[in-house]
Amino acid sequence: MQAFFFVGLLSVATAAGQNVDFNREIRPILSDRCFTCHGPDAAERKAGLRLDIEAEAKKKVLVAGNAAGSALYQRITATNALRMPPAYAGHKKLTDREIGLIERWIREGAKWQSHWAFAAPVRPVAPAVRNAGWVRNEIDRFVLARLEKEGLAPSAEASKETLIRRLSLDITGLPPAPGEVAAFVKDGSADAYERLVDRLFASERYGERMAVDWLDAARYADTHGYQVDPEKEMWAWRDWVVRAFNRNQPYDQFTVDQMAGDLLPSPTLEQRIATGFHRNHRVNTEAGSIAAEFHVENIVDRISTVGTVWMGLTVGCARCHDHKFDPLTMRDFYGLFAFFNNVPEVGTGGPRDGRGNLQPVMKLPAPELEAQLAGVTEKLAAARGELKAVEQRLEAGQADWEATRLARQPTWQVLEAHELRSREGVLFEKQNDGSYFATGPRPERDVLTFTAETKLRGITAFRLELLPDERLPGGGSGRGPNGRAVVTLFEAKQARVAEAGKPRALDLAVATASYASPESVLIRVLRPMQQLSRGWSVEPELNKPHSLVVEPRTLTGYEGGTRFTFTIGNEYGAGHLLGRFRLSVTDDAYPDYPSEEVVEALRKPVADRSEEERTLVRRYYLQRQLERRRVNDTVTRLNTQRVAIENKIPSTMVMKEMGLARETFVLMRGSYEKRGERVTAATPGFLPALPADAPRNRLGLAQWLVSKENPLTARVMVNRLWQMYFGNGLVRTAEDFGSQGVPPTHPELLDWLATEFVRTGWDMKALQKQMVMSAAYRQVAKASAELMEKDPENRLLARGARFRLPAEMIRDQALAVAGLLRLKMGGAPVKPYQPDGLWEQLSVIDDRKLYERSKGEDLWRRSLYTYWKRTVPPPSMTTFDAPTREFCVVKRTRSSTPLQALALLNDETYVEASRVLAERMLREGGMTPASRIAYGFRLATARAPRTAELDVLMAGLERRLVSYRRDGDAVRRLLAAGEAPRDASLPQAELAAYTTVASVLLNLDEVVTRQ
Amino acid sequence: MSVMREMAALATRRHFFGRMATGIGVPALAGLLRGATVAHPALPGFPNHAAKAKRIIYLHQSGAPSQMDLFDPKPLLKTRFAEDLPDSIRKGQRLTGMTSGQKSFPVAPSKFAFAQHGQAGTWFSELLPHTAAIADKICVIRSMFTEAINHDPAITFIQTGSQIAGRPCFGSWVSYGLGSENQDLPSFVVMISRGRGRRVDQPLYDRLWGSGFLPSRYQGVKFRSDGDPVLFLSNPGGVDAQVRRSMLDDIARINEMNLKEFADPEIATRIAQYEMAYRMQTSVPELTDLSKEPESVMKMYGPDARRPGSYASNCILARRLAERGVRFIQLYHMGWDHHESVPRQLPPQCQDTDQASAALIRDLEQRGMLDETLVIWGGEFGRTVYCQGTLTEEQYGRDHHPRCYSLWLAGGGIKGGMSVGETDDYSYNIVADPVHVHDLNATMLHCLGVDHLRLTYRYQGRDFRLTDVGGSLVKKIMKA
Repeated sequence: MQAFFFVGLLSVATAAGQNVDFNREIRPILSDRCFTCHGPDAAERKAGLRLDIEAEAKKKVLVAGNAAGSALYQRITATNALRMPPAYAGHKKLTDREIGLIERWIREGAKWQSHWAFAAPVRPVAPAVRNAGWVRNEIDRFVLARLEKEGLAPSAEASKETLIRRLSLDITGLPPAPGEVAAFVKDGSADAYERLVDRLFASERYGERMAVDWLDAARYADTHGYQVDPEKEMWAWRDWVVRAFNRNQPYDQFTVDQMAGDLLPSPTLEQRIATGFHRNHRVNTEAGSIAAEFHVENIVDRISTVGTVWMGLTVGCARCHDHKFDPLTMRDFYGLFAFFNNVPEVGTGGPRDGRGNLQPVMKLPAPELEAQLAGVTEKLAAARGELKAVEQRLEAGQADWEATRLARQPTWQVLEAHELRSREGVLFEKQNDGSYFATGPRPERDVLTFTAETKLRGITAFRLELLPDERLPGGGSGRGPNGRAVVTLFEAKQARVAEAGKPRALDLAVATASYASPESVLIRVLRPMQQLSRGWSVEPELNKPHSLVVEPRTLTGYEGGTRFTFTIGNEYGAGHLLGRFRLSVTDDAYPDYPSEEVVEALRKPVADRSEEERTLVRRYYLQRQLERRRVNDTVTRLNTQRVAIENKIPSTMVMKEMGLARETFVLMRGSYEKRGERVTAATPGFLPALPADAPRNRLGLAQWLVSKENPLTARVMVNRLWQMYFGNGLVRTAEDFGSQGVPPTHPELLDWLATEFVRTGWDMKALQKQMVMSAAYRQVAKASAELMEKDPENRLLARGARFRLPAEMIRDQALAVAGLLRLKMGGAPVKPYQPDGLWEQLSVIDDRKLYERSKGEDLWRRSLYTYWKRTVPPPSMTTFDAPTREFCVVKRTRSSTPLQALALLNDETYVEASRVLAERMLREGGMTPASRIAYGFRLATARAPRTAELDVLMAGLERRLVSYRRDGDAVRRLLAAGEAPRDASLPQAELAAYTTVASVLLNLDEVVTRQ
Repeated sequence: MSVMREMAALATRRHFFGRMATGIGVPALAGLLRGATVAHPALPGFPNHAAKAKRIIYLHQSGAPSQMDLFDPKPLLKTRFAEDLPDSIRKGQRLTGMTSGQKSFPVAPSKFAFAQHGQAGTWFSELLPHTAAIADKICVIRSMFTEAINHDPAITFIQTGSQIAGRPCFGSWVSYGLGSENQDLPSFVVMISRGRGRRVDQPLYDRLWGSGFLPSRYQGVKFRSDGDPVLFLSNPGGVDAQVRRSMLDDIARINEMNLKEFADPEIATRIAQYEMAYRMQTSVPELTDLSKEPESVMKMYGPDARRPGSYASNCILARRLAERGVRFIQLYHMGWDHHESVPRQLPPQCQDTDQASAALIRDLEQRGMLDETLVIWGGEFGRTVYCQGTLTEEQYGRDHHPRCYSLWLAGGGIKGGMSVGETDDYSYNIVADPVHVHDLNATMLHCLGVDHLRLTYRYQGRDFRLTDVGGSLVKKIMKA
């Protein structure tokens, strides 16, 4: 079940004797029921009437003080076709209560207020309260004043055990250790609480906890998303976020660095990394996607995200039309668009770097790899120099070579099969010329394995000959119709004859043939596609001998002899099999069948050749010279090394500005194909203007967001921080501060916090400290029947908040309680336990990466570091309402489902944690079952169990101990969970029974709840 | 409908539990909760009108089947083999990046024979003999169209009504609006199978059965063919049913004490969810065990029926889920994306699905369930009449085509034995009765008794619906 907002339930409505509050009670009605046709969207406006602007409304349909005389009231109460909103489908009617409120509001003078969120907050004076003794800081005055108005009293302070667990989870995302609990409980000094708070905010765990929410907002992930969902690398940005929170970077700087760090004067490495915020969005690399279309989608995503995260507005609504509820026009939208339209990027991604990242990319410092790279680069330069020298030397011999090339026949050494095996049982008879003739079964398809040895070295090529034979159909060279054969695959592996080692695959680079049918695709013989329908055939020259020559990339042949294993595929179907064939090798420099272009050029006298022909012949001559090949092989090898090292250097995607800005247009109906009027970068017209001297780029936009005049940024952020500590924001719709959002429960408190935030220099920790120091925060989370009745949603804050922990905290807490948690920070993401087959079932692209579970301590890192694949996110997280990270989320839902129960009971993560927690209970929990269970209970809840709870757990232990004592096999299987080392010195049946108790503890509502 | 209404429903329950928690003794409450249903109710006022169908079985053919090789015969094309697609037909409409660079757009006629079937004379290609045999029970729409041209946006569009990720899918909307009828199974189940036609195919992703901005309990629960049928369903090694029950009892007892102290209805909900989890541990294996299905049934669904994870096996599971009152049963069959070779890839793909799809309709009918179950068979868009890659009479590939395609519906609320819609001579543009994705979805919701304009959810200040800002009922195909 989620934390819902519900306006109607609570008596927030105006009490008798008080005037109706326009912003709280009237604007939401007008916005929801009237603005669609009588609001900001000019295109949809009916009757030229708008009710979002006071002057317009009063000119046309409102008579202050006279409801009956106001057209607005007449129309909403009409009983005929004039009734508004119109009765036809899709338009909700006003309720009697709503009509009553409007009537009263008009009667009281139809007092208008501008929308609360669009005027800069003014620091209110904290109200006076009767029960001043309860107040610990200003926050409490606002909360208590409201409670007193409602005739409610705040709840008592929670126990110290509850408070330390609440604070530890809220601030660091981890539970307190038993020692920390004991020390805090014992500490009677006046500032014990504050010292605890300070210690928690100083912990590096704080930055990790804060990062989780920010990563949701920034839609951070380890893959690009959409259906191909390839890997990318953005953890440098994620680690920057953790560091920024830990060093308490002021929120205005935090904002500027991420929006426009690259545009600051001489930006630091950190500031450039920070700009990755705007590169976290998904990118559609699906084949056939249209770059221009997704260029627009990507920028729309950026603007919508800025809108939600900083402005608390549903900016994306104005993509296709003026906003229906807020005064945001389409022009405003494309004005924002222009700020993000100048990044040198491709809508569908373009080339990925060695880390999977898309331009613009920044390499990260990696001193060791850089040193290696410098070494290889130097060697590579030397080898390239040598190559050039060799080529110059060889050029002298070209004329002689040309004179003989065309006439020349390489010498081939025929290979004798040590073993020749057919997958389908075809038999082969050796012929006198060293060829093999097929007999026996004639399957549709076949694959041959041919093993042979040779002492030849410096091997340049293999030759497969198709030889015609009278015994074959039509006297051709194959066994298929008319004597056809189709070779669909040729592979070669090599091993030293002297060694029994595993043969290694050879990299075969080129295939040429004496003849190939027009349908043949020779490269498919070496690099087959999924469908084995292409290859080499010699139709219609079936009655002539023909050869396929295959050249490996580098010279081959071991000293002392080489054993080759060839795989020859005939998978075309319909029995297109080899009939008679022969295999040979050569060390000749020119074993191939040169292309027609080369042959033609060679036939011409040098003087008659074109420039291209000369280059062609020269290159052909040089590239196959053995001396050059040897040097070139070195160049190739070094270059492969260089690329491999380069690809190891981590990179991160960043923002960058193009020299020449792209033009931006209003896009009609939001479509990339339909350009309207041209616009330039601008902030929305209804908000304070961009200062005249501010740069018209992202930096200007960032500075505008954090300027004192901006009414939204501070309010939106303090509201989200409040949501972290109180379960819900003061504005329940954290993502929408516009006229369709829910008005704040405590508007003055929100404004006080927002102004305080700015006043203290956007000090994140200071603001949060104020929240947790308040008496409001410290209240016990119990609801009396009266309170449950009056305020089930706890909007008035007469009690502490109680809500299920976020996904990451549930797992991190289990690991911490078991003592498994590893606190190593940052770096590449890790892959903890996950059921087999999840990625395989959903992603089937050829070059997919399968889930390779991490080893050792990476299994127990904080969940922040878990690998996030967008199309198949980790189920242990999404089951507990973590978003998919495909788009910005600033408020997670909180659901309660049977799948959560199954995960906590059966996921290997939790079974292992239970087992290790049980070991801990046995080792550290004293000697009696009661003390051991109590110890586990304290670890999980930070409090001692009550007698009744202990009784239940002890009885359960006894019951299950009996059954495990009888069943040694069950004991072994239960204790096998997880890779964490096992403590064999403990009595195993006991350990199994305690494991079930530990699992019960980790499943308790209290344990997965923060209260 | 909005979050307000759902909240009102929840609040009623909260008050109920709140009073229970404080008003009556905990043991009594515990008993109540253990037996309590967590099957969520329909939203107040839903269904909006008399429902023709209680549930949907959605047979999604992922990758886009070729309409002019299966449902939409174009005999004239035989005479236009390899001719360039006329500009008067193409009209400069956009193409994918895969073929927009082609020098020509040669017409590739279907190599498959078509014939008319059933009383209405519905056309089917020779690749669908079993579907053809149930012609009188189904309605073929030959004039579907969509807005997206690539798989991810298009499949997201037909499932959620928006090309952009983040909206709830069809199954989540239905589950949210109409609630659940079964206390032991989820209300929305997803199953995936792989086609033989193209093994390296478009992947699927969790988002397609995600609940978007709806609460996550409305998301589809994926049944898997290997490992646990539902993630984490099985007890760990060494934990038998007795041990598990004993642990659950302990958890429940302590949670009940907690409920008494805090009076938080969330605790009551959690207690009930643990009981549902326990029941699922029995009900799901019982459901997925096909060993007791009679031989005659297995035979009807075809040779793949015994292979777990096959489309045929999933169709049988779909019927079993339908029998148990599961509201939305979503199958995905992969492998229809035939860019390279329709003649080679399409026939095995049809063999995967033809017999089992037809068997499902017959099976439902034999059990008297077809009238109350709406079945849909179709993909996310169509394929081009022009050839992608090499063209011979025996060999042609087809690219994505959003401007027209075919699919069929059967069962609750839909007229059988008819086809609707017409395309031009090239199956390129629609010439009669166009059906937009929103129209189709609106119509299907209508069959469930839901007015698509009323099934809304307030998010970011807007009332969202499955049909976004569109959707008109396709009255021609609806039973009176």
